[in-house]
Formats: sequence, structure tokens, C-alpha cells
Amino acid sequence: MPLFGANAFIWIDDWTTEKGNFAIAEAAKVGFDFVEIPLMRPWDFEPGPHKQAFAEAGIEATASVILPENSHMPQYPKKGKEFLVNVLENLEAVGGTKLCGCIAFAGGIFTGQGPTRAERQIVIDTLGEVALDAKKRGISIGLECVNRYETYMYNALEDARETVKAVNLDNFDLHGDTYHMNIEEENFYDPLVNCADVLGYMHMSESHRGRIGSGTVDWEQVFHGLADANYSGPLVLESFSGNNVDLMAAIRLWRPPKESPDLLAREGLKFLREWSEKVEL
Amino acid sequence: MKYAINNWVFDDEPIRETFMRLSRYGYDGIELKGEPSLYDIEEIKSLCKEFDLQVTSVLGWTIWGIPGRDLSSPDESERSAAVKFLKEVVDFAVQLGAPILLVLPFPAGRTTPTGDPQLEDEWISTAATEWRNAVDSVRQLSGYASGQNITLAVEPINRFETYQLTTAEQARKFIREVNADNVKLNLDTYHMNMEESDPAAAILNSGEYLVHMHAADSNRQAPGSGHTDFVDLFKALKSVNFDGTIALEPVPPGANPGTAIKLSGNLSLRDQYAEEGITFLKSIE
Repeated sequence: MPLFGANAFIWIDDWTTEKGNFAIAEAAKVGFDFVEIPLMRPWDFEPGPHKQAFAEAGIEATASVILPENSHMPQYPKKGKEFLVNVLENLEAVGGTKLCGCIAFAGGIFTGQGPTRAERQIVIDTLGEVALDAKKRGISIGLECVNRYETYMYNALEDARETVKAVNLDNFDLHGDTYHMNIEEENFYDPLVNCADVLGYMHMSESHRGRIGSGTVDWEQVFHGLADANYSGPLVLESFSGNNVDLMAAIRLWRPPKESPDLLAREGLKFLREWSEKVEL
Repeated sequence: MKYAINNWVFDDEPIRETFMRLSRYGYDGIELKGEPSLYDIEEIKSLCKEFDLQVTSVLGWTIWGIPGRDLSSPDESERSAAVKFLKEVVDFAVQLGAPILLVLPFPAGRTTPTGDPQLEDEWISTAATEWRNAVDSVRQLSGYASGQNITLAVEPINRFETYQLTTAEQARKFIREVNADNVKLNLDTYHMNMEESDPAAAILNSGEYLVHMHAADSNRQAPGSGHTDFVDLFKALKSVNFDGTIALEPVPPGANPGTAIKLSGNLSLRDQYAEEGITFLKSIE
């Protein structure tokens, strides 16, 4: 069985010390193996209390980020790297082992062109340096691709696979997300199998960001794809129930799901477990 | 089933070439980008005759960023300019005998309420104001269009293109609030894949409202190139006795989500998408 994680935004609308610890406790109650911290503001983050909360709850930590606009990596590699290293310091301090998400680009930045070879090379070089830093801290890095409305840099898994291969470090892999795949991929099975050699982290998110299993994502294809890819990474539930205006604006969530966080989390974990058993993941 | 393609996807192509292409691949008509100043009405009428195609519909070009196109704006001068513009589009559509005018009550591309997000409560309450404004604007348009043999079709679009009115259910509520016989619904298979729990059910639940369809696959390319279950959607369309037009809006992968099929580079895709789209849909119809 894979490890099961949950993005904290299931329970909270913003990561503060108090709200973060609430999410950690809730995730443990439901039975998740780890919480993914949306570590968007490393300068505000207080590792001490969270380290304790994780220890008390008996679960692990990972972190996901979106680079800030002034750190869009193809344009500002130095700032992008500084931001990620700051996140890594905080993640190491809570004992986390994985950093993933939009680590190669800021959300919503467009140039009016597709990604250029030069932009991709900057990302390859910069993330290579970040991954070496992460390795010293015992942290691995996952490069996520997201839909066309959020970036032009990496939309399809196959695009990001090339960058992962070029970085060529054993703590650097590909982070897939079913929400984005629903918009970008021709189907859900082939990209997972075709990227089997680099796939290390999965966001399991429904087509409308709500209760998993109630949208247009073809979960049968997703799970058979993961099984045939011999996927051994974690599965991370990503539903959003918060009404934080920053989050709403960032991911365009103006129609939050009707279900409570607890229901989204419990039903979600059950759904992921049942499918994992069925395909012997 | 009748088929058309919206000419916005061919970007700045001379309109005659678009007519030639649609005729070549067996389309019944064309949906025009609703920007009347781009066209010579007599030329369009003569092309319709020459190629035996009809203007099935016009898509009101209310794109965020063009001044005077926001039917929901809290700014009264912006809103009245948008109503005035769309009345001109109604005239344009009527002159061409198009039975459908597609209306986006909120401009495509504006994904937050107007105003300052820092003023959180005020910002959020603007959403309700904008909804009321949009209802009022569309009601004005319905009055103007009344008796002119044209139906206004409200279209829900995905969350990255608007912040309100993303689902069929919300659109039906909007239409009920407008409360006019000539205001109905258009559904788009591409947007539905992102917003509806069950796109076929959205069609089934919209039977009495649905007068027109937009079609692109889940990746916005030609139907058949993604994972949208068109067999399921056609079953639903048949079961609600849909007798309108399906207008295709296939767009290739590009640097920006709204990228049209550009003259440079991707010319062959214009023919390819036009041919693949109708061939695929007719094969499962």
C-alpha cells in the first residue's frame, strides 16, 4: 500500500501556526500518514510548534509551494532558488522529506510564447542546484505540471519528464496531479505509464477540486496507470474547502464544495485506499 | 444534428477561406465571432449563398480587457456601453438571419470581482452586485431582441475564464431570474469537463433550456482527441430532443489558453481540426 497524505487546505483556509497544527491533528484523526504543508510564506513559518505537533500526531510532513511572482524561475532564477532554499530550511526543521508543487514557475505568469529552450535550461540548472541542497537535508524534490491557465512552462507530464531526466539526480522526480491531467492529457492512463521512470509523487484531486470520485476524472484509468507504472510513491488527497480569498483568487475556487472538510477527508482516504487495494498498488 | 465552427478559432483568416473550409468538410453553418465591425454583411450573405451555409449563431465578443464589454460591471458607464454594444450585435445577428446569439453575462477573462481584494467583505459583496447587474443587462437585451426571431443563449465557462456562472445549474438560475422567453442556454463540452460533476446529467437537467452547444474535447482540441465521453453526451442530447447546432471551438495547445489557431506555424491544424471534429462527432452521433 502507498503512503497516504493530505493537503492541509482540506481543513484550513490559510497556513498559520494555529491553523496548521489544527490540520495536522485532523489529518492524524482521519488516518493519513502525512500532511502536505502549503508552505507559501516561508518567512512567516514557525517550525518549532509544528515539529511538536507532528510528533504528537505521529504523522510525517511534506510541503508544496507556488513560486511568488517576483521569483518566476525562468526570469529570476536567483530569487527562485532563494525562495526554495528558505522553504527547504523550514521543511527540514519540521522533519519533512519532500518538497513539491510549482517549483519551476510562478502561477499566472505568461510571456505570450511557449516555453523556450533557454527557459527550460535555466530551470534545469537552477533546480539541479536546489536538489543538491535538498539532498544534504534528506529531502527529495518533485516537479509538478499544472494546467494552461496557471502556467505555460509545464502542462503535460511528458514535458516535465524531460526536465527531470535532464536534472538527473536521485532525489529529483515528477509530481503528477489528476486535476491538471483532466484538462491537459489525452487520457489518464498513458501519461502515467509513459512517465513511470520518473514519477514520484501524486496529487489525487477531482475535476472540480471537490469530493474525489464525484467528477470527470477517470479513476479507473488513473489507478490502472499507476499500477502498470509500478508506482511506489505516495498518494496525496487534494480537495479544497476553504474560503480564503487569496486561495480563491489563486486557483479560481469560487464554488467551494458543499461537503464538510471531515467528510471530504474521510471519504477521500477511503476512496484512495479501496482503489489502491483493488489494483494492488 | 447540425454542425458549425466558430471562426474565432481561425484568428485573422479571411472569412472566405473559412467558408470554403466548412463547406469542404460538410458543415451546415458557421458561428461568427460577434464583433460586427470585422465584417461586411453583404459579403457574409453572399458567401452563405455561394457555399450553402447558414450563420447558425453569433458569439457576443465580451472579452475582459476590451473597454465597454462588461455586462456585469459596477461602473454604470461601462455596463451601459456593454449593453449598447450587444444591441449592435443583436442587430448584426438579425440581419444575417442567425437564430442564436451567445451571451457571456460576465466577461471572459475576468476571474475575480471588481475592486480591491484587500477590502475583503466589500470585494466579496461585489460579486452579488455584479450578478444582479448581469441579470438586469441580459433582461434589457432580451427586451431589445424580442420579436426579432433570435434567442439569447447564456453560456457558463470555466473558473479560469470567469468567477461566476461556471455551471449549468448556475446558468439555469440566472436564466430564471432574467425571466424572459427568449433567454436560453448554451453548454460547452470543454468547460463542462472542468466544472460539472456529470456533464451528461447537466444536459439532462437542462432540457427545456438548452438551445445550442459548443464542442471541444477535454484538452480543447478537436472532439476525439481527449477523454470527453461524447457517446454519453450524445445520448443525453437525444434524450432531451436537442435540435440545435453544435458549434466546434477547437484550439491547439498554445502559449495562452485562448490562443486561436494562428496563421504562423499551425496552418495545417485548421483543416485537420475541422475535418477530424465533424468526422468523429458524426461517427458516434
